[in-house]
Amino acid sequence: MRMRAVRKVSSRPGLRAKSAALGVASLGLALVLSGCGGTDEAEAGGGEPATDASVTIGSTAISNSLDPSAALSSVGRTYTKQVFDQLVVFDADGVIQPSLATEWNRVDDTTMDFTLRDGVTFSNGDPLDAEAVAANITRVLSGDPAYATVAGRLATVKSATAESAEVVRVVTSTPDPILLNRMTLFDIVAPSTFKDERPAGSGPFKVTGYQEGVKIELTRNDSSWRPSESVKDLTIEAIPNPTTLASALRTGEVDVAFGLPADVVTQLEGAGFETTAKPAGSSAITSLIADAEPKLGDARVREAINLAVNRDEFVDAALGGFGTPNGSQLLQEGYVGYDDSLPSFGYDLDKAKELVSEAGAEGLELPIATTALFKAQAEAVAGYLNAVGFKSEVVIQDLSAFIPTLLQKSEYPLLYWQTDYYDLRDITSVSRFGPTAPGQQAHIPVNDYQDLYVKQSTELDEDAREADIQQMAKILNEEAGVLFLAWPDTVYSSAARIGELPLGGDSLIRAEAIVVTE
Amino acid sequence: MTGAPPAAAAAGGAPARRRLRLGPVAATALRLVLTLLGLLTLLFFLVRLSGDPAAVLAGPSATPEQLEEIRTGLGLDEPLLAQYVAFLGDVVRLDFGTSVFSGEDALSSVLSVLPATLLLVLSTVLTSVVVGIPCGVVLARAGRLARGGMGAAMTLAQAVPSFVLGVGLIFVFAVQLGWLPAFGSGTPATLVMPTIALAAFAVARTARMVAAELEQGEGHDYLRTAYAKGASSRRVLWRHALPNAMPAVASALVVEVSYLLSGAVVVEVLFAYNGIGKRLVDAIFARDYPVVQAAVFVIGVFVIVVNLVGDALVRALDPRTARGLA
Repeated sequence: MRMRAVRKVSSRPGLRAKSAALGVASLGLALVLSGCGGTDEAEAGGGEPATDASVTIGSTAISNSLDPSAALSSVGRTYTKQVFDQLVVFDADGVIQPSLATEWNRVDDTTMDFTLRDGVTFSNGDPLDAEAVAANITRVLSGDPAYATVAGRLATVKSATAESAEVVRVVTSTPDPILLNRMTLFDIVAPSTFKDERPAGSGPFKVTGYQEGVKIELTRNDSSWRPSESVKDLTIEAIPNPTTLASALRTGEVDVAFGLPADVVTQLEGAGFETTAKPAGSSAITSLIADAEPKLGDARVREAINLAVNRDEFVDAALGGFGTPNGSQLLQEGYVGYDDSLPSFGYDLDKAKELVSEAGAEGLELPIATTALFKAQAEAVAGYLNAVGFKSEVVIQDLSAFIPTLLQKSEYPLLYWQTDYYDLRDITSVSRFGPTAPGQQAHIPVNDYQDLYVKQSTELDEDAREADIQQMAKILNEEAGVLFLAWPDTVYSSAARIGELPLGGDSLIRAEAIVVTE
Repeated sequence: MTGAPPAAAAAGGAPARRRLRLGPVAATALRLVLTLLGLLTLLFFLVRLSGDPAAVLAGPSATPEQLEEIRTGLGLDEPLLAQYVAFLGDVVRLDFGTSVFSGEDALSSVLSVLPATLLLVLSTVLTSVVVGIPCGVVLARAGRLARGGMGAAMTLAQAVPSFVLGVGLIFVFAVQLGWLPAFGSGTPATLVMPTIALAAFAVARTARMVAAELEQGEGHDYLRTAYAKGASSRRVLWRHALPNAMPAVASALVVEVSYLLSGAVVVEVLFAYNGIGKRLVDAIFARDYPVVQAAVFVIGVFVIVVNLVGDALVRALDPRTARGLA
């Protein structure tokens, strides 16, 4: 795991220029204006640690619901992590650690018992027991579409029952080697508050106010088993426009900003604000869909595409420097199956052109579909491909149109996206490269890979499973089955009074561990 | 009111067919209701044909089976026509369903933020009247230098997009001077910058409208008569010229109010102002059909009401319009 913090913008002038060149006009204006703000606007930290501090986190979007079972993925989890607990958690290094469950053991291939922590109560006073945990799982598996996202995370879980007051038994439909990973994503709510406007959790904060789509106000949960020492009041504000969000950080109206473009983060660094960047766990890639363009079935074309990209430049220009170039595999260091011996595709323009020529693919049209969020990155890729003789341009799709394009059938041969396996920290969640249903496109037309994907998903022997995943990575690498690009970072900007921002292994803020200096 | 047109009867021609005739207010209302129906119909099909809310709910990691399950749960696997018929029935009952994401009643969710937007619209209209009319008088009546300066200022106000003006306002008044909050809603201070950003264009348009009306009325008999009776220039302006310019200005303001409700979208998002525009944008990006439909319905109804009130206002200000003389 790599944590970067407090980097000064002056160390990367060339990078700023490239990033700015990729910005849209409005953002350009924001940069000009924010650049006028001088330096060291952030108040200097280094005072005494506060014990009853107020902190505001600003984000371009916030949770759509106070009920964690109805909250959408990463947007909602900044909130849910402060109010609710999970059975187990990832530590900062991505290792599973006890949380509400202090022990767990496999009863058989499809059954696992979790022993709960003693003396935990929800913020409404209800005790945490096995019945409560089982009720949470049963509710999410009820089939209600409102819980679809969370139910998807527990895909293999069939049922949960209380074996005793302290032991909850979880049964899966198939052997699941990553059941613990799944449980890191599952928030436990006091069952008596399932239907309340403000469901209660056992985390370090509890809800005191909520304005839909606007802000969530929290205060310290004094009865939590992992209380917040420094932060008493925590507000999570939605500020959709990044320019306004950056301004709010400058004015002190927010203390932490998430969702800012990389070049704005760099500008803020120059003004004395701190940056905390951590690998998000996702992989920036471009899928090569042979079903849409048969020429992509030619290994020489796929290799040429991989050799055409200068990944260092891509990270600097398209990701604003917040990421790690990757030319070898989907997973990064720290994940089961990462293989540092795999060769990495380098930038070799001449060889790429030669392969294009050999394959008779000069002028091959390779449009790239993506969403507006990744427009700049996809345009950078298109530029590289055009330089070696392909004809590529970017097609922007709405997210709701792009997801079916990604999942089912694409008319475009290239799809730029970022895997979101950070949720599970496991190859299983990159299911796009797994087996396909009838009528569904393959992201890699190699049966061995798909067979291994199926095998590892039920392999309980850790060593055997790691070997399977490494073999999958090797196949993908040898076949140049995808355009590898980078491992992007999750980036936060914060005021000096916050100091270094404590993040969990899931790159989410641990507000209870923030030490505010006044 | 029914009957043959008087002109036809007087001319002794064949009696005209008896037709139902609606009053002007009823005719306007009927036209606007039909417009609303057309708008909702268009919206229904556009929203459904342009994306899949189940896909957004499921996320990129979903399996096709999960996607299908969600689609079924939301009723999106029904034939489009069946969904449309059900939708129209629900609209008549003002039932837009619940938000796909928050689970709240969609119409209540939209109505809860309507007052904030109405407040913003009201403050913008007031600003455009209070500032725009004097600016228009200056444009029409002041000396050459003042007119030139005002003209340039009005051109600038119309040329700068509200988004860009808003960013500039935030930088000056929030970041540099610290006088106003950079974002938010619910307090008088949070209303100032969104109002200025929205009103700049409206002020300029009102000023130009007033100036044009004043200049057009310059040579009219009623003004010459007023001057001949010894009225001062100021009295002629405020008692005679401006009141005659008001119907045209009021008509323009009615259009402005209708525009502002939907035009506030950009400004509300920029300032994180919790109004109907921001709610609509959030819902569009999330493909939250029920909320999108409820928001468009509310905006449509608002436009209908404003147009009806506006027509009545113009008729009150200038009775000639009611008689079809103006």
